[in-house]
Amino acid sequence: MRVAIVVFPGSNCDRDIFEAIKSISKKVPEFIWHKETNIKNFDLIVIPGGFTFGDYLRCGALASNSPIIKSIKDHASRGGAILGICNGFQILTETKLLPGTLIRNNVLKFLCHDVKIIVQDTLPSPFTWGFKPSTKLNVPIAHNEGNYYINDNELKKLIFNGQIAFKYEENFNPNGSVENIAGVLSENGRILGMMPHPERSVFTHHNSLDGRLFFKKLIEQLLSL
Amino acid sequence: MIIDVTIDIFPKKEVLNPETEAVKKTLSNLGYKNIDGLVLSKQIKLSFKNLNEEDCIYQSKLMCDQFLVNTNIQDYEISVLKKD
Repeated sequence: MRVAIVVFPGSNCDRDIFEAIKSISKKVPEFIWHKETNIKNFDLIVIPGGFTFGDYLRCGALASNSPIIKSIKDHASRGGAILGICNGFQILTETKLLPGTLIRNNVLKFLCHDVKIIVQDTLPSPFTWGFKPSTKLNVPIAHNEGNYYINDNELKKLIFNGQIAFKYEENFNPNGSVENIAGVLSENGRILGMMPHPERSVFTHHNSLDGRLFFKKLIEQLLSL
Repeated sequence: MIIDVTIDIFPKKEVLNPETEAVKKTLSNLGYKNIDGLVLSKQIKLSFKNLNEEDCIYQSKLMCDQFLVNTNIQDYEISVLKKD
């Protein structure tokens, strides 16, 4: 199994994802600099969190025009799996590989704490296949722009297609996201964007090991193909 | 010839902008009670050379749709400022 971790100027969760995947899969992921233009034969591309290009203009806007994006789009068009976490999610919406947009938290604060997210009943996807719908995962968030916005028509499509992967608990929506959405899938289920950080709940010194379970299930599924 | 173009980018009406709401509330707290609407916008000024006005507007529009504006959440207005 080959995993690529894309690194932009300002990425800051790349090492965490590296350690998480390495410890679970026993395989060493590869860091790929954003100026690369030819990346092939990866089973999974991870776009980590951070503040790429200082979040100038809009979160993820500059990164979504980096040279590597064409390769990532090619990977997506071949049905390749892509995981975008936090700023990675913002980049995936800016590239239009995922619908919607992440806007400023409605509480106007940077939020950094544990949340419980609920796995939804989704279309077939390597990111959710290993969990029964309604399973709760304890993972941290750390963002200023995590308020997921999508217009009503697009939201109906997301719901109808089973593209909502994770929701925050009812009454514990930290950032004002539409429908308590914490993560969404692409129409083919092969791309996931999520605001919470599963790579920060992987080791015993973390508050939870639920992120480890998330990566374990994902890796099992990718290895079985 | 230099042509200056101004692009104003602002949140779509249907997108609740928490920054706008916070500024509005603070103005109200300061005693300004007659404010009905408030828009926080971002302005980008471009100076073009060796293009006619029509092409300047056309290119500005392309830039907005391609990169400068996220049309899911933002609208924009282009205006030509001055010609020297």
